Amino acid sequence: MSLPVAVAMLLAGALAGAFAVRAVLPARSTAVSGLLGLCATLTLAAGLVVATEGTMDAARILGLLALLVGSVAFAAGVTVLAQGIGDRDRW
Amino acid sequence: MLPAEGAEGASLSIVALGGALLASAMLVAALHRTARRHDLTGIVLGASGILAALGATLFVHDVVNLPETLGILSVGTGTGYLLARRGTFPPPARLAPLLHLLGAIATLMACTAAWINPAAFGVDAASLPLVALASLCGIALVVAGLFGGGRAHRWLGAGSGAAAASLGFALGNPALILCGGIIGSAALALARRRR
Repeated sequence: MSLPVAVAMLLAGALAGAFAVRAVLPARSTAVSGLLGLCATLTLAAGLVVATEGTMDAARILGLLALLVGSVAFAAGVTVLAQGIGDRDRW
Repeated sequence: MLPAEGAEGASLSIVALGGALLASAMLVAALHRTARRHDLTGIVLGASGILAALGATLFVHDVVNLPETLGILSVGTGTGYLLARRGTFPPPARLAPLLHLLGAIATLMACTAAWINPAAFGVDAASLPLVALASLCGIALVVAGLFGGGRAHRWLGAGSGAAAASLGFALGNPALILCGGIIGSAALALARRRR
């Protein structure tokens, strides 16, 4: 992957993200914030790269730990968001 | 800046590009939907987008230790689900900073592993500053998440997006680059609106 392609992908992502929340309803900002927190656990993909390709013990163990923390956050985030999304008083 | 062509995990395959585009489309749709409606569709779309990115990553990279990886994923998702069901996790309004904090810890661990063994991930000397940038974002997120107040917590999403995009550049992972850009810019727009 060349640098111009990667930069173009980053810019396209940034534009799409700003477009998606351009007209967020004030009452929904907490829900969107929670969803962004959930999306942040996407860094477990990095943990996955590190865990699957780590050939040294220390690097592999750190990658697996990153994967563990990321997957705990992902599952808990999905569960809490799914439970709370219908509760209008809390959101 | 990016790993050299031909290095492990650095080539952009159709599967990687397709997975990244699918994941980003799902994340944008999830944000768009959650911003306007009170239903589960946005959450389902967001979670599916993250799983699509994981699937593409798993498909493209050389899997050296699949049993350990799948075992850790099972243990982590099971633990997270049980903790959230028992009410150990905070209410939704305070959930986002905690998720950013956990994501930052995972980022720091991945960065440390890349520092220890850069050759295994195709991280050359030119990419090390990007790993350093991701590490700095991770440290800032941990400090802001633990000690910052409500004003600092509003900007955590932007830091998470920057950390994910930097790691994506360093590791040559298109899903992290695209989705990091989406998360960062959406969080910036949201934080500016909530000021």
